[in-house]
Amino acid sequence: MHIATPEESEDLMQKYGIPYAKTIRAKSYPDLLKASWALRKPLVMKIISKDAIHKTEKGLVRLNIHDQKELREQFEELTLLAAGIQIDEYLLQEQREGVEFIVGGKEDLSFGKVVVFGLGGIFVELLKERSLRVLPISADDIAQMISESKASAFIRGYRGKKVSLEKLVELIYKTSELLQNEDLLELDFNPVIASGEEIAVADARMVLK
Amino acid sequence: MDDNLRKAMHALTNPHSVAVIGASDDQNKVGFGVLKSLIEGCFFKSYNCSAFAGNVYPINPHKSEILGRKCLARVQDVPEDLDLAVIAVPSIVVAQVMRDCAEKKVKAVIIISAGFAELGEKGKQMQDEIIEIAKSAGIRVMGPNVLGILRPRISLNASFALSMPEAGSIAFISQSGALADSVVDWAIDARYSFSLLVSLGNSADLDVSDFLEFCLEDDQTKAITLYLEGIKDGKKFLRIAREVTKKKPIILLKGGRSSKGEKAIASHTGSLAGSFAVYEAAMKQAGVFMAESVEDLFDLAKALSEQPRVNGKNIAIITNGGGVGVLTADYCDMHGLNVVELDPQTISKLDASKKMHPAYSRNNPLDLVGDALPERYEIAINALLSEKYIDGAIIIQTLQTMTKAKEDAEVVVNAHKLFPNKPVVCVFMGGRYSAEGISVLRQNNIPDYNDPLKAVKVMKVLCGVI
Repeated sequence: MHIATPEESEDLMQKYGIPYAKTIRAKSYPDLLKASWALRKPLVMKIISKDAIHKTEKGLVRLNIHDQKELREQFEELTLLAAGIQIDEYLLQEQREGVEFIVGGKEDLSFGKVVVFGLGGIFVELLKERSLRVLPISADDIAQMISESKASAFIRGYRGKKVSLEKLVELIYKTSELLQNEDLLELDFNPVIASGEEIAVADARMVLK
Repeated sequence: MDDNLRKAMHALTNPHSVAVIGASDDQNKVGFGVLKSLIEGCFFKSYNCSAFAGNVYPINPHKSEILGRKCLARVQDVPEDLDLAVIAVPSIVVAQVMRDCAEKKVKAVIIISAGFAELGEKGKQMQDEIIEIAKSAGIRVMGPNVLGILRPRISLNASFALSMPEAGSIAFISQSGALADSVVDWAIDARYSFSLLVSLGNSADLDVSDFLEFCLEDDQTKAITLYLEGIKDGKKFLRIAREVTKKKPIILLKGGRSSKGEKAIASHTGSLAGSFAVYEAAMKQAGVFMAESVEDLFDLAKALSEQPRVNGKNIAIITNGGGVGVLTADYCDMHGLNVVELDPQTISKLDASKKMHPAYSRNNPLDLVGDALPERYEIAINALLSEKYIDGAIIIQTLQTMTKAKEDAEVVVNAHKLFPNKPVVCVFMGGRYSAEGISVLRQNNIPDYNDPLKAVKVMKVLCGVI
């Protein structure tokens, strides 16, 4: 059992056609800068450290980086803030705006692989707002599953935020294929960020057998 | 169901000959209880006891006679083909007894004896050995560590349950023998009636799914109730339950909901998808209803075996008391039933009868007002049930001085005969002075509850809302 490296996770998402926010990692500022040229702005910068699991609480996530000047500033601030923490890498990701969902899966001892969908982000465990299904499932099952969750409010539109049901169904369906065909114990796509027709996995965590 | 399983199930549920291996004359021993239950139908007499018509053979090498029956030394001494052997000997001799059964070519075996996998690794090894012997002889095994099997219609009581419930159309398959035993006792007075009762014990061979397959084909069974704590082969269960629920309802009471002892690895999903949550999802996908309590389990099953099921959730509430109508509407809303708006045409029909109270509610819940006599109920119930857009009715009677409980009940019974495809559930609220009405409803298989919440939960299941 091991936790998939970012490269392994990306490979798997690519293999199943699961859209994810483009991400690069680097250890130094020059490398970060070079990599940033290939990414759509604005960007998010995070510190990857095995000492820091909840990055948001420690201020180790920076948003809205538009240009080289901001990249430099944020890099320096983050490095300063992370004094005392071992910095493994810096991560740059295309910033996505929208509603945050969780799409996950695991293997249940008696029923086999299951897929979970719900509201994502930092309140996942507090709200436990989710619906789940034992695999395999059809696209119709997925639509039904979404409609059972309170998160479905965003399909109809809530507070000016609206996401595409079709895109969401597609992403969950592809995730269910990944879950069924690969040797996975657990999988978290949290958050999956969606807005209108756009959808992408912003953070993936997979536990491989 | 494959042929091998069908044959074994036939031997278990409709045996012509049964041997009790480990029959005893000691009243405190299981081997006595099982033998007595088989011969007389019951250990303790109830209104439903009668002797089993098949041949019963006590097996005990140390006794010559028990309960007036000649004892045989070994199962091989039974002078005819043997359908069923019930084993109630200490666990260490079960393997030898199973070899005897193999030699005798017994068709099915129930191992009541405990002391196997439930005790740990050593017991598990003994259990595996016994199942191996049975398998190579083509014998299917129920147990070990079970209460036994009861088939009231033919007075088959191959168990140490304390009595026999009434014959009916509910099958009860329980992972807990003690729960099944208590349900038997309770059912006798509560008048729950059964097509089959089995306890699963360790399910070393025949498991819950095998019994589900049997119930699907069993003409006596209309609804299946389950008490389960865990399911070993969840995928098999889902595959079979999906097939069964297309034809017959399954209601499950799940024990062990808390997530103690569950190990989540390192993810949000782990904490979102605890084993009970997965259970609920799996049951929903298989079309299995979940009960919340033992009473709920049998209330739902009873209603499902007596009332028609519909594919719709538009419910009419007819009442002679505003408050109970409001409560019922609240519960409908909570449980996904639609208290449907009445069509102006329906109201016109009611108005045209000229029998409605001037202050009747003219909407759903249809409040007929406290002084409603049977005639007013009759007009209202028939008018509403005849509407295509109404799928079923909850009929409430509160007690006023002029209320005629018995006649009101008869009105409901007649309406149900007129509209046999629409479920009807009653709330005849009260006690002593509604008893006559309640008894009419019971005799005519109309579910009736004192608490509107129970009525709504039952209606929900009849409407197929999971």
